[in-house]
Amino acid sequence: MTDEQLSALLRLKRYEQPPAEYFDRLLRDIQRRQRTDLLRRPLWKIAFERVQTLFCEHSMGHMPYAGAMAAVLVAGIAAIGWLTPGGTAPPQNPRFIPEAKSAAPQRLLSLQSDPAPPFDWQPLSTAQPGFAPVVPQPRYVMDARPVSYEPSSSFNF
Amino acid sequence: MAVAPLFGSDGESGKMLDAIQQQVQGVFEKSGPAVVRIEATDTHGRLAGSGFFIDPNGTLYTSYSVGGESQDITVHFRGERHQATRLVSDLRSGIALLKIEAQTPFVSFGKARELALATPVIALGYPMEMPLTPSFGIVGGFDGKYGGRFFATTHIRANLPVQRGESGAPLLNTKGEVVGILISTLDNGSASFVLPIEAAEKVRMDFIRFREVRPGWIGLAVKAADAPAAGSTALIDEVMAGSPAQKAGLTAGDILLQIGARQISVPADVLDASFFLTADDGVPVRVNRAGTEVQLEVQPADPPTARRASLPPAGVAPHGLKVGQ
Repeated sequence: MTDEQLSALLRLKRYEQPPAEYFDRLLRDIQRRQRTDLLRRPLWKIAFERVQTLFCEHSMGHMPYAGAMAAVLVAGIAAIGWLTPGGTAPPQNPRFIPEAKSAAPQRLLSLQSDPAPPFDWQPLSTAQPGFAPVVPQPRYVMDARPVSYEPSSSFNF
Repeated sequence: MAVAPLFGSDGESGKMLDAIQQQVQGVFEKSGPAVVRIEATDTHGRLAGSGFFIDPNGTLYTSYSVGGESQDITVHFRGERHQATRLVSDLRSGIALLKIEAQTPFVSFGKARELALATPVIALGYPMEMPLTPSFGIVGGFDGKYGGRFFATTHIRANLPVQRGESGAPLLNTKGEVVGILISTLDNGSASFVLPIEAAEKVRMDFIRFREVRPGWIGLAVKAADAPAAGSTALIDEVMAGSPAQKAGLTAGDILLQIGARQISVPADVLDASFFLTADDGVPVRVNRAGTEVQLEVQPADPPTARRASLPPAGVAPHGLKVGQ
């Protein structure tokens, strides 16, 4: 490309403009990216900030604010208790699994509110044969040749 | 020429198989209670093999590899573990004699020398972690050597499959009498070498008489003669000075025909016959001397490099006899 051709191209670019819809699309794109960025944070943090903003906007004092937070906390605990049947099951430990009872195996997964049978917690190593500890086996003996095995056919006796 | 089929379609083959099944089951029920699993520890760790009681007082045979040098020997008997003591072990024959403190069932003795080629035999042992298992086969031969190397005495080659853990198990005839002790496999485990029970009993009798294994030595070197004389090629090459053979009058050039009860036809037969020699027990020796048969009485002595213990001293062949090079 010669210098003259390059100069002509630059002159043309000076008058170049994007189409009208470009700016609308740009705005939507920026808002979408902001939303995406916002939602990357934990949900509880977003909720906490919104509640905080709400109280600030209404110029509430410290005591009502603390009371409202306590009420939210109590409501949350109550909701968890309501969702957990019986409310007595210990938290799941990833290293332990319950041994399936052949008499009523479905009760372990039941969502009914009647008391579940006590779990018989078993370590994973005994409940799962694949993870059972390796018991050292003895060396089972059978020789490949008699122990008395002479190399010579010339005998002194 | 028409050959009658072994397994015909007229029901005869079925009857034959039923008969074999009943025979093996009968031996299993009769002798099985006397066969035990043995566990022990050696320098490589825990090991397991088989064994069998031979008297009501808890004496049992097993192989040298199972009970010969191992420690902390336990015998599984009637669901219990019994600590065993080693009475004697003999690397030359490849067996060990153990004992537990219990009243035990026991197998009766048969005669290995009465076995013939293709005689049916049964082994009862504990393969790996499996329960007591019978194996059925036939006598494939009687061998003094394998792969160009010689055994201390002639072994029975039994064509029956054996697995690891069956070392020391009894080989039984169809009457349920023990005729040998499983010592080793052949190549792929489809057959096995078995020490004849008479050889094992030689070891046990030595222990009963002397509290130790006591091989005999007469002081001969033997080689193959160029031509047989009176059916034998076992030529006396050398008579050692001051040896029992010299004292008895044997000389170089004699052809050995018989030692004790055993006929000699080749030098390897001498090795087999010498296994049964016991120091201080006189034995008749028959030779061909310049065309004339001569019988002499030889009083074997302890070998010059006597091995009174279970293990051979350094430089001495494990069979207890000095092996010429």
